[in-house]
Amino acid sequence: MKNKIISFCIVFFLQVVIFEKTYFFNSVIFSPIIFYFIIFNYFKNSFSQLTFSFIVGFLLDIFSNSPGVYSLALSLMVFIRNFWIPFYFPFDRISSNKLYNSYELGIQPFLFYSLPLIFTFNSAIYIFDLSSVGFFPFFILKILLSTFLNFILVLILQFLLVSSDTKYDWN
Amino acid sequence: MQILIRILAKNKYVFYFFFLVLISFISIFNNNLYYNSSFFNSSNYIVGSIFQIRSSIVNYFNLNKINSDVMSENFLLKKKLLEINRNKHIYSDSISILNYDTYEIINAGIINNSVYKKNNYFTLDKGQEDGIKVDQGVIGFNGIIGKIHSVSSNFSVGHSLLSSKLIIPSSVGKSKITSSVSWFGKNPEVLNVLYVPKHLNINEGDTVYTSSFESIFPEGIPISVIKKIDKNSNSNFLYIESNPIENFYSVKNVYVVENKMKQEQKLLELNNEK
Repeated sequence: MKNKIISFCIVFFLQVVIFEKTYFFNSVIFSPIIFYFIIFNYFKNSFSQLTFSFIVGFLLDIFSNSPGVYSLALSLMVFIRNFWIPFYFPFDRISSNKLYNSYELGIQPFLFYSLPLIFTFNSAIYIFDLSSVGFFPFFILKILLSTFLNFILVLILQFLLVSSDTKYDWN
Repeated sequence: MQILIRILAKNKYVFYFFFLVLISFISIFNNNLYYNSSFFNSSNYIVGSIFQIRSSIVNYFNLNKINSDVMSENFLLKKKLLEINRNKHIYSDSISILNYDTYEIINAGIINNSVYKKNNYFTLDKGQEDGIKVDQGVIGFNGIIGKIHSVSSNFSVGHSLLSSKLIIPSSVGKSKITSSVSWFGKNPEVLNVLYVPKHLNINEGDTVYTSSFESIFPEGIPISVIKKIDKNSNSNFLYIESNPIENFYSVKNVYVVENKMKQEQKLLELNNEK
């Protein structure tokens, strides 16, 4: 548990001190913090997860001077996840004591599970925080590129922070 | 009533989510609520201290560049000083010198800055204890940076010129045509110059300066250089794009300017409006 809190604090710190300041190729934002909200255990209609996502978003807003944006984006992602997991996975594969990562699900199912969530998060950030929509197809392209690169970042974090034999250890 | 309670109880998760969304939307669209309290932005003590540490580390690795910037700034200031000394008799009666006497300057460092958002902000390493107040202007060595918005004891946050919430009264070119400068939130390299009537003659390459209308900035500080003029726009005014003179990507040291006569000017203007 202690290790998880420390790793969360490190990722949060990296998000606000490094990734929040960088806008790669003038179009891509990296948000390592979403890793935790994608892989954590599933509890149907969990108030604590929704509240936690809002509080973390609120803290990110304070650091990035973007009132309400991250709290909206993270709580929206967690809210959609609440309905997305029972919709996407067969009933017998849903369990509250498992992590939703690529070790557990396999790369391809994990890709299809996480991309819509990352897309939701990035869309909220781009619409409410980043520069104007401008040319719409280009705007969508930016969100898609960010979504895909954030997925790769989530995979890297997963390989760094979650070992394949501790998959049931995140309750 | 019972049905209503039953619906609420059944969908309490959804209602709770919408409650959180409502709070987020209030924060997004009501910035004053958020920024009136310095706790909720990067001017608060903990966040400011973290950014200060980050800034010191980054600056340490950029010492060579900072040093050469300071050298070139010193060189230009020295040149100006010599020029003023040489022409002392001309400047002694000049209005511009008297004008600058009404401003007090506090130097500060930028410890956090953004350029790619809809409304960009910067955080300064100075606050109330150093004499920083809300609505003071912030200028860099080359030109305008922004305006202070929120202050805590040791840090302050300001609207950058790259913020659609900031409109700076300005004058264009040698003929000092009255205008305003604003950012439309698209490209950090492009500022829009507004309200220049079509019949007036201005050219690409003209410099846009601050005017004394808002009494925040001293008159004559460069803001941007005109890059594109479109005379065929649908309105009565020219569509003008300009490039900011200050480099917002790399600016580190700034000066906060306080107009000592601002209060008096505002009071007089208010009395006249009555």
